[in-house]
Amino acid sequence: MIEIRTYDGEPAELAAFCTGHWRDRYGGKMAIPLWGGPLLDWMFFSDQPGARDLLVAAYDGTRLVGTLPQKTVQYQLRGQPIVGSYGSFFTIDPAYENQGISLKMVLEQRRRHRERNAPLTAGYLIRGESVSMGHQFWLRLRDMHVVARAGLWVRLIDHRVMSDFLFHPFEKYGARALGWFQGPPKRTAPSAGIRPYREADLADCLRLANEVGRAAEFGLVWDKTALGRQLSHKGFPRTLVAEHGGRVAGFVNYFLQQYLGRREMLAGVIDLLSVSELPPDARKRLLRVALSQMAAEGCHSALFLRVAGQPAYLLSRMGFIAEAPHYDYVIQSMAPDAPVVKTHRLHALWR
Amino acid sequence: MDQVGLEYRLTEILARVVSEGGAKAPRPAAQLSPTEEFATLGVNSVDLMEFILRVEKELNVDLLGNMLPNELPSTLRGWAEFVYPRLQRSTRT
Repeated sequence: MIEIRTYDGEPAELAAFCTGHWRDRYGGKMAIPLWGGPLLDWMFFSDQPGARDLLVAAYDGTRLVGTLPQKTVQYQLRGQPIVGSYGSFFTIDPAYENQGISLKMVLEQRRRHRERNAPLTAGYLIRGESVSMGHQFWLRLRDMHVVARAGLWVRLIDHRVMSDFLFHPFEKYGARALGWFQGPPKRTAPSAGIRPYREADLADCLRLANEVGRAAEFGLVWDKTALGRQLSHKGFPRTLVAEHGGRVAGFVNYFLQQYLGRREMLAGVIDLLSVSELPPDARKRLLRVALSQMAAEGCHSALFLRVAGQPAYLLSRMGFIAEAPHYDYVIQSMAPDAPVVKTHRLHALWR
Repeated sequence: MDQVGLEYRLTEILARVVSEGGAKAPRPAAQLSPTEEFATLGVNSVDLMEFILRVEKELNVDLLGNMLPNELPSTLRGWAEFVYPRLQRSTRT
């Protein structure tokens, strides 16, 4: 008897379930993230009341057989606040594939969102990969809408490893060829004004993060609690700040994520980058220090969700390449009166 | 259409969906038992969504709008019982 209820395990168990089944189903066929407990702990787990409210899971007795975890967040649509959520890590144990678990979890999430007056949820679907069933399933829901195609900025750090990681011959040879003249990021030690984030920087970072968000028509709105956790949590996310004029005027925030393609590779995934208050040289220096730190941590590439309002010129100068969109950014309306989001100007995190 | 007729119509729709969905050994409608669990009929999550979409379209009825997870039927008979009153309501309006 399948029961849909709130996930009651630990982050590491959830990560092992999702990663294990994704690896079995898609490994060797397309690039997949290998999620770990620290990432899910950072994203979903806290001691706050109601923190697990949207961690929907399916159980057969005590056996975990499906997960659809989501996280409550605050959005704005053209300046109007909306409570919503975002999620990823949708996973079904293949042995339970034919038992309607996917739809039951979707219906349970919708019920919980309605109960909390949260009219929408956002996420990503993988485009164009025939092996992925997610796209086929989710886009058959009438209340699911593709808002925008999503691609990544990619800065190769170890071109040889990235060439071995990639599937498509054009990309593989392209990565090799790029390495002949691009090389890894230059080793750059933090210089004056660039240093790791401290709690005292939160107010400045909050101002900067919401400034980045205001450039978008739809996207996340940060408050002190959410941003504090985003920038620092048990050493998992890395945040570097840049001071200018006696205060923090820019920052970059990223985390390390392992991926499996033809081989494994480690990426530094940039979530937030704010440089608009920095002079041009300091912008470059901040990004250079971040890339250098990623290289020292063993990263083979740096990834950054490509959306409107980013410093495209700076990213290009630093060796980032705009990858073709491989994903759809989607929103599911959870209530009949959910606002319709139609814009390409987004402020979202890549998951 | 009465509930028996509806059950037959749903059986036909499901047979089409499963056969188009690339099932290894799709069965014709006549061989689908209305009390057999979808799990044993080989209906995966994509087939199930396609089945619901087609029923909604062909019978002009809203099924998922207010459905709760514990209401999701798992047999053709269960679907007929779920759809029939909604079909009556949509016909009246």
